[in-house]
Amino acid sequence: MSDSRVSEFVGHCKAIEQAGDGGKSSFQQMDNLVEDRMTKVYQVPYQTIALMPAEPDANNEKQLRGLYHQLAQHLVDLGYLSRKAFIAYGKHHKKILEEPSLLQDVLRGVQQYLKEEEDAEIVDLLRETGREINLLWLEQYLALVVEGISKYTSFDGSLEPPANYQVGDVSCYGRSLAFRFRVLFAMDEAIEDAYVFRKDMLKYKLSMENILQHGMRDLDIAATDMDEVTTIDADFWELITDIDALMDVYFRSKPAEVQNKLYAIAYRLGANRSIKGQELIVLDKKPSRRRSGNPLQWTQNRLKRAKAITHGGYAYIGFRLMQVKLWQTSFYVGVIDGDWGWQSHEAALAAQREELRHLEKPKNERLASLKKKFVKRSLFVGKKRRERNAELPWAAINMEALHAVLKNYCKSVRSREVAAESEVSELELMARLQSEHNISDEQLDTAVLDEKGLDKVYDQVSDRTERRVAYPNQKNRSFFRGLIRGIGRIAKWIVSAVRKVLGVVFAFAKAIIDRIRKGIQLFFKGFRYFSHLILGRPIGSAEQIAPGVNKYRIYATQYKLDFDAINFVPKDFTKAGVRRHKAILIEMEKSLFFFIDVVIFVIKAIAELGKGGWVWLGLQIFKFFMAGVKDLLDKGKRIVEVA
Amino acid sequence: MSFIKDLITLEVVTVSGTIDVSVNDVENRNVDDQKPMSVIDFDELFKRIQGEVSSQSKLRIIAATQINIDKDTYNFVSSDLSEAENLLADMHFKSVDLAMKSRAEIVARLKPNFTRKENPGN
Repeated sequence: MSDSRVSEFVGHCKAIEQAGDGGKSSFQQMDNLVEDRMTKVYQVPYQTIALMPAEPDANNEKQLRGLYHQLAQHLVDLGYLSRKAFIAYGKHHKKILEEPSLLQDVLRGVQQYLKEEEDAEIVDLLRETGREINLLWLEQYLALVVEGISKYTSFDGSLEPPANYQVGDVSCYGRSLAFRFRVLFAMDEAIEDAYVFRKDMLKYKLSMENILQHGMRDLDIAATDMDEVTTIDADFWELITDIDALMDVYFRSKPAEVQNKLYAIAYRLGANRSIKGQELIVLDKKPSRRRSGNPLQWTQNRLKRAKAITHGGYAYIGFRLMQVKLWQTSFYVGVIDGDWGWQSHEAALAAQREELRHLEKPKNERLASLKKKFVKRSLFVGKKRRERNAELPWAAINMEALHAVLKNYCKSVRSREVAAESEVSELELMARLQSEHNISDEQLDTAVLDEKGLDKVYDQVSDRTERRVAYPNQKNRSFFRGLIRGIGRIAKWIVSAVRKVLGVVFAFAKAIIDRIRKGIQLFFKGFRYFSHLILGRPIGSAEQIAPGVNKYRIYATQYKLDFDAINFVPKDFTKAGVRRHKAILIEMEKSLFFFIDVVIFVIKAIAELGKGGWVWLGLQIFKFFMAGVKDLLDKGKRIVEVA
Repeated sequence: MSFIKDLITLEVVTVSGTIDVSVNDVENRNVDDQKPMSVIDFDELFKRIQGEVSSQSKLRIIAATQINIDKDTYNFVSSDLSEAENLLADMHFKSVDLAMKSRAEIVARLKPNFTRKENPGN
């Protein structure tokens, strides 16, 4: 049974749509519902527009802090925030909403990012809402900024090649390129601190192209005149922003000695979850297929006999590519450093297990059997022997087979298969959970909104700045279709305890939470305009009389229902205090049109809907808010004019 | 939209003065209280301002504006403003701008979007 207050919310939307004398009362009731219940359910605070010392409400801020964390992670990846500032921010992240001074470095990073951003939607948003970027502005448009910046660090092909990029440009693209080289190709220490792709880094591009096109052939950097290179071709952009395209090219460009041979990432499993001697190996002297026609499989003896591919960067890149793909599909939450440790090993095992589970109840047994064989071949793990001094067991990952398995969970946005497939939305997945697995709204709300068991994943958080969590881009149509493969496991997680949540469960939960936190953050910020302008909630700012003294000078404005207004200024006002309060009024004026249009659009859309739980409502708000924003910015018109 | 009763005139007043405002006792708040509170009790503040303005005792009117439906506008700005207090007049006119735009935008949006749907049976 779902929470009746969700129906209450939809009811208020209907009542407001029908307006008449009931309009104000419905706005008022919705305002109460938002403040009393929804802040707790969604863990996003509903603050009125005020620079006021507010009571700390840490229990209801988790998702808003999560959104700020996502932003900080993108900023540090792209060099808009220093590593030192990121670590300092991380240490105090629970207090950022209480003490806005802790967000100053993040704000400076955002200001720089927005100066460099050329994406039409963000440019339109800035044009619409003003160019002065302060904490008040960021607080309102946080979700849209996070959504906008995320494409520069994604590997799913959602970043379009730039129209006018010049090597050395200090731009979002220049930073994105440097980030990709740091992640995939940090062979040289000089790259570790490169946050903008510079001309002297072209040698790494050439080196990467050599590896990807010619395997381990010796590099001939001198043959290319670097001075003449001023741009990066679109093909390379498409490659470097798309992990599947990179892996496909990688597999095609195998060194001659690996062609038509069995090859794998191999290592040995030591005591206490340790990994010994990671290598890319190739099995020589044997055909790649048995006489039966079945592909050759790894065994302990074959692994012992195999030869390591040691020279050149081919092996080096391979480990990183595999980690990025496991990370993109949520099986891996470690650092992408090419160091194949226990976390990487378990991620590969989890992906194989997930796929085998999916094939357990096949509709077509023969096809399922073939697929099972293929999936099993993706990974070999030798058995531990009990006797003393026994050799450590080997493990081997067939990279091509594992990549094919992982593509079932998340494909490139540009993939032809994705274009041909029908889209599965988050709401359809939700509907299938209910119809096929009898999941109730309440069960779904409890599991998702309480992030059941996910804290175990986040326990591994360290003070390192490298990212661990990938968020699927909204444009990626393959994502929820991929999750259908693990729907049984997701259902099991919802109704009972699942020890290991990495993989589909983690991907599902964080994608849903990501949408809800963005949608609710925007909706709350938008709805408060109605709260101030229709319901008469005062707009206030305060300045502390002296540091450490719990007394404030209050500046306040109240708009009444007929828009008459009273401003109150303390007798001992300061110039700074008046300017701050005026800045709030200016900020409200700039964003007034934007939020009123989009919130009205959302209320109208929700009024037409049926019923569901809080997760359902959060996703609907996200969907309609994003649609409203897009419509508003795309058409360059107010929604009210086209309605 | 009938809840917006008075759209004939728009009045904005800016006052300055000293008003003791109670600070909510956050420490001793009842744990069952649902609403997160602002530290300052705004309801109390504006109740007092309205009382004080009408009694014209402790508060000083810095500026006042009345705009009629035909756009006739009356502005009052206190004649003895110090240089620093000119900032208050700026802030006053900014709040007038916001009031005018808010009224125009909200009325323009709510009227065509949300109209009473009559029951066809009626």
